[in-house]
Amino acid sequence: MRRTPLIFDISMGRLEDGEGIRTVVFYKGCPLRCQWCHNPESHSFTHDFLWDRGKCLGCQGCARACPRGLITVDGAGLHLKRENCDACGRCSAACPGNALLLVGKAYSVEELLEILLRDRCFYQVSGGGVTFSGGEPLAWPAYVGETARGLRAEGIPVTVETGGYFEYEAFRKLVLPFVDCVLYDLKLMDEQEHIRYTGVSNRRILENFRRLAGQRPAVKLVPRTPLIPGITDRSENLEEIRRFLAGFTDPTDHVLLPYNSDGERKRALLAGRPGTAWS
Amino acid sequence: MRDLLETELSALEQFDMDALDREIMDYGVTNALTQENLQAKYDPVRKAMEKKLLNCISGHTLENILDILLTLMGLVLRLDSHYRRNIENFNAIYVFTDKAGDFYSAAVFGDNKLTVTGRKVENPTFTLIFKDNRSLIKLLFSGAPDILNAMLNQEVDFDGNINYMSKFAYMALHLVLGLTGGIVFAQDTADL
Amino acid sequence: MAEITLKDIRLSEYTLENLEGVGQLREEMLQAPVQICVERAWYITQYMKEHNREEMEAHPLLYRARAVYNYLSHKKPVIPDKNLLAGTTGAYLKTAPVYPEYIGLTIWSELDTISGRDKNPQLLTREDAEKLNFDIYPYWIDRDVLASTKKEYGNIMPVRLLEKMIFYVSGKAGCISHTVPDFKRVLAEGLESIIREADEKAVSAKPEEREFYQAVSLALKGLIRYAENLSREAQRQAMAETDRERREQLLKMAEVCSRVPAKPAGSFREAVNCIWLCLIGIHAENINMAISPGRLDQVLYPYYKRDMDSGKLTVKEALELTACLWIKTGDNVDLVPQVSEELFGGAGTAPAVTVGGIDEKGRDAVNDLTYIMLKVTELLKMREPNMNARYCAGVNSREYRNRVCEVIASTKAVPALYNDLENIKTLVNQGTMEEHARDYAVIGCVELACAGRSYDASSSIILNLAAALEMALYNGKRYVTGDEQFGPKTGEPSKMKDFDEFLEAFKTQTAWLIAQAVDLNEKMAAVHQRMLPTPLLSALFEGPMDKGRDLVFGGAVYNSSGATHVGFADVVDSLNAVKKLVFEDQYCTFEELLYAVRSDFEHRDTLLAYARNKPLKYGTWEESEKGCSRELIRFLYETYQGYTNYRGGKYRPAYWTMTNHSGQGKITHALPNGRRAHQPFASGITPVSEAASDLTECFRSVGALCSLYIPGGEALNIKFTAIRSREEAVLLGDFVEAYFRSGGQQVQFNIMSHEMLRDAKAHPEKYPGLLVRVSGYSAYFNDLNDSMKEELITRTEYGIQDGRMVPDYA
Repeated sequence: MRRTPLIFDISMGRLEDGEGIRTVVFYKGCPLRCQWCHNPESHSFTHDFLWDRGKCLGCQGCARACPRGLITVDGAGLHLKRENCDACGRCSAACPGNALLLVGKAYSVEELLEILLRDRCFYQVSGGGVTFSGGEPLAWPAYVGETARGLRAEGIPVTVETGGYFEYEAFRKLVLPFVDCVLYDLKLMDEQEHIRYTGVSNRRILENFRRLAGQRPAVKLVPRTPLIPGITDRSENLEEIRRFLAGFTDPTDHVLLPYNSDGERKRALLAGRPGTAWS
Repeated sequence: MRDLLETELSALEQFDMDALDREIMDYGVTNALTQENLQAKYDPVRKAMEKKLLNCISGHTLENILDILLTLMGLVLRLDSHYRRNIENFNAIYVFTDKAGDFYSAAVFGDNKLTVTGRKVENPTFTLIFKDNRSLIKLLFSGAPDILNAMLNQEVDFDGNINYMSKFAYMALHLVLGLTGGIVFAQDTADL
Repeated sequence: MAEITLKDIRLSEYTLENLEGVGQLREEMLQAPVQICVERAWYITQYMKEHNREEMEAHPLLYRARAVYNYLSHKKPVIPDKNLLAGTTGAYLKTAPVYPEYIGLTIWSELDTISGRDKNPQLLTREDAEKLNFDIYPYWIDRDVLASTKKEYGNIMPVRLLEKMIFYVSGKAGCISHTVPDFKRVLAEGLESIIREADEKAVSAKPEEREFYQAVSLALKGLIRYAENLSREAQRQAMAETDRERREQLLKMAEVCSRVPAKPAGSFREAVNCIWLCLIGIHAENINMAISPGRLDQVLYPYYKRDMDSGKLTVKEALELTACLWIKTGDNVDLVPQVSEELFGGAGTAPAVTVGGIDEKGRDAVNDLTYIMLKVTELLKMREPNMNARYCAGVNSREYRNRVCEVIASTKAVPALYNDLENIKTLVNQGTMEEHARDYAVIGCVELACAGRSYDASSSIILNLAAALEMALYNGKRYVTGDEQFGPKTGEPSKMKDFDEFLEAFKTQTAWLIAQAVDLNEKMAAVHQRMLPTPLLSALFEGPMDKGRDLVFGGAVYNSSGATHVGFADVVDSLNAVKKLVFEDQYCTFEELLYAVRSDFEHRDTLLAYARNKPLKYGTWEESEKGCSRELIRFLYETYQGYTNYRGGKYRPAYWTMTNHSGQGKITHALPNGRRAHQPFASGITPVSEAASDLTECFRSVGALCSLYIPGGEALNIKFTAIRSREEAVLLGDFVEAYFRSGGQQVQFNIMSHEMLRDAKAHPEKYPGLLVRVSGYSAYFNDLNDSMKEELITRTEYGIQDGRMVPDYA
């Protein structure tokens, strides 16, 4: 298991994921496998490759650059022997068309803070800050906590977007003291449905929510439900979520998110598992 | 393609600019009646030249555009007092030449007259260096002389005050537009 | 400091429909064809023909004033529409007056065709064509600025470079303009007061100064004559008018013109009309290329307030009068030959009005008139005037800031925003007193002036940086001119051992090109001094009346010359590309790179892709830290500031491009950053299209360039797909404010998508009057040529929700 998380995107100047102008950090790795996920490159905790056939010039630059000779490119497509790959990134750096992208980069907390502080004027003026998302940022409580602490020290508010499937004690000790807002996904109330569509039970998710709700108003808690047609947007599901929430929060806090279909395009670009060729 | 009439062809063959000049000197060009007579007499020649010019511009013939243009211009300047106002008190020498120097023509404006010569002149007012017939046609007769693009495409180069080029281009284009009906003005001031 | 008394700063109750006749006036002005006006050229030329040349050259000030007087006193008083204000620049509703001293002869060859040409015809009557051809042009054929310069100095290199058109443009060949006059004095005292001062000083002045004062007196009298003639004409029309309302308006107009600009303005209406008449006077003397009215919300405020307090004026009337002035500023355009249409078309005269900001004492200057002027701009959505809003964070209110952003969202293009903190700092660094710097106004496009105190000649040089880059690549030659040697021989790049050597070569070529441009500017300045002094304009400035010296002789309090640059972003990216491809990665040799560039990257797909994707790109944070952009800005600043101009001022580098980035791009070959041949350059100081994919990074990178080194002004063009709500407008304001905190000076917006612009290009009839921001000024999209339209379409577009570039999938 890694010691430092991989981050697959640091997106600046965003308005959607909280208040004001924000930078969103996307952590790689998620315990859930939601079928509708619009960031499939966030699932694995290890590196991924995205290859866009349309941008490939067939120059073999990637093949030449790989110090272990793991890449071949032919008429069928790009073939990469994942099991021996150490993600050095030379293939991606050598690709002229940016067709081959290595997804996932490790930053030290200092490095990440330096990047996140660059937009501080934007945060200050707009009442914005930094959001941790992914994947599941709370899979890395120590790292996320240290980064959040660094941001708090600079007066920059921190929001965490979570799927709810994390270890609560570690979160409570290391992360919670430095977080201002938690955007908490509640997808499906029925346990069997939840396992069917996300791969895991929702018991821990609901239990974590109960415990976190008890922390308010120290931290702002925003329950959110992505509206997936035919799955989460069914009225029985939404009713049950409302009933669940009635005990803790103001019903108006509940945010319903429209379906983001970007995942389909990305799945086409995403690497397969080790040893597979793309075509 | 405009075909020349028999009368026009023969008038053209017999045409002698010096003879016209002598006639003008003898009769005095300011006399209106004389003007009319001369215009009638030289009308076939003028028509012939105009047709040749248009044929050249439209690419139907490969004749030397400059020769035709300067001859026609010289003729019209002698016959048409309104057109002649263009060169009232106007003294300038234009040299037209190609890069290699194979072609050379000097148009001398002075004394209310245009004289064309192949002799080398010192200190011309304006020199236009052009690549070939087509370059010159494109420059002078496509509606607005695009000196910039012509220069960038290595079609022309020049030396001298560019206003002279503009004036000459106006005079040349005016002749042609008068024939093709391309002269457009806004309505009279009163209507605006 | 003014109190905002308006209950609703958005003035939501007012529309084009319920403001008297404004909608109609707007339509008429927009639809009016451009009429070429020969009147000015006629009177000025006639006067000069009647006088001895040597005599005129011995006393240029006096004769210039006399010629201008001859025109103004004979100028036809025309009332072409129901505008409440009297006076027209030319003899028709919308005119392109001819200035034979400058560029008036450039349409000579088109006299027969200009009325009927496809793109932007400018109408000429037969009678006027003949006047130009037979009476006016022959006089000026050897006398306009360029011809005079050539005659005086011969065909020297700086002139040759100018005539090639692909190295630089020299503003002085085209104008004395680009400045902000002072109207405070004429409003408060009337022209008669200035005339009195001139007459008194003339008595005891030294000979050169006496001539200046006499010239001022005479020129101003000419303007008063015109106003009097207007008054009589309005009176005459009133007598013949049967409609009572119209009659009353005409009588009012007659009364106003009988007072201003001779006497002090006694009302808001008189003040507004006075300013307009003064602008006409200025246009009578000189071509209008960005003669900018300045801080009208400050200058007109006392008259507004007095009338409002005494009940003589209502907000509605103030809106109507402002709208009338706005519409009037569009009554004149520059004469444009067809060639210029292709390369540079669509530009108006860019008269800049500046609102907001702080006053001389540093207090919030936003007042009721600021909001009235913003409202009028929002309703009219016209190209003129070129609206600019100053913003001083921490002093101006958030409400003001947000309101400006709402207007931007509504008009999709205007106003542009200016950062008071950085701009004032930059002006002070140039030697301006702090109070004067606080009073700065924008010269259209984006240059910074101290209204009525500085003569900045901000378009003196428009330099194509790509020309210098090419000369570094090709050892002193340019691609399009083949074998002709222009710049110094800085060496064959293929033999250079490191990037620094190449960078040195580039700097040498740039310094050389600047030297030529400066030399030409100085020589043309001497020509201006000999034949085109500007007494009328000088009278409306602080400085000349004290010193007895015309503006062109350095009479202004502050003097400078502006030099702007085309191709900054492309050149920076190209330098970075050379460094990465050839020297860092050794992806290819310099020779291979040159070969690829010369052949426009044909059969060099991977090299092209590498050049486009891998090197540092200006507009990204990494480039800002490690690339050439900041170094280049500093180098240019130090080079220019090393020169002193003929008026004792410095040269100020700037980064705005009008449509030159499109025109010069069209005639420039491919470059190492992967720009293909004939493609437009990025505009102003904006990064190359799609190079800066992250908005905040783009803002920070541009802000990091250090405004102290950009004293001439900059234009940053940012395109958003849409701003759909008041909340998003507030966020727009947040982005701007953060950008300003990061060091940014100026920003302007186009709020429109690739798709919409493509549709507008294909179906112009669906988008009449679509206003766009080009590079420092506005234009009507449908007036632009195809190349310029494409440039706008393909500009980097950001979605405001996620701060990322929206890819252009077309």
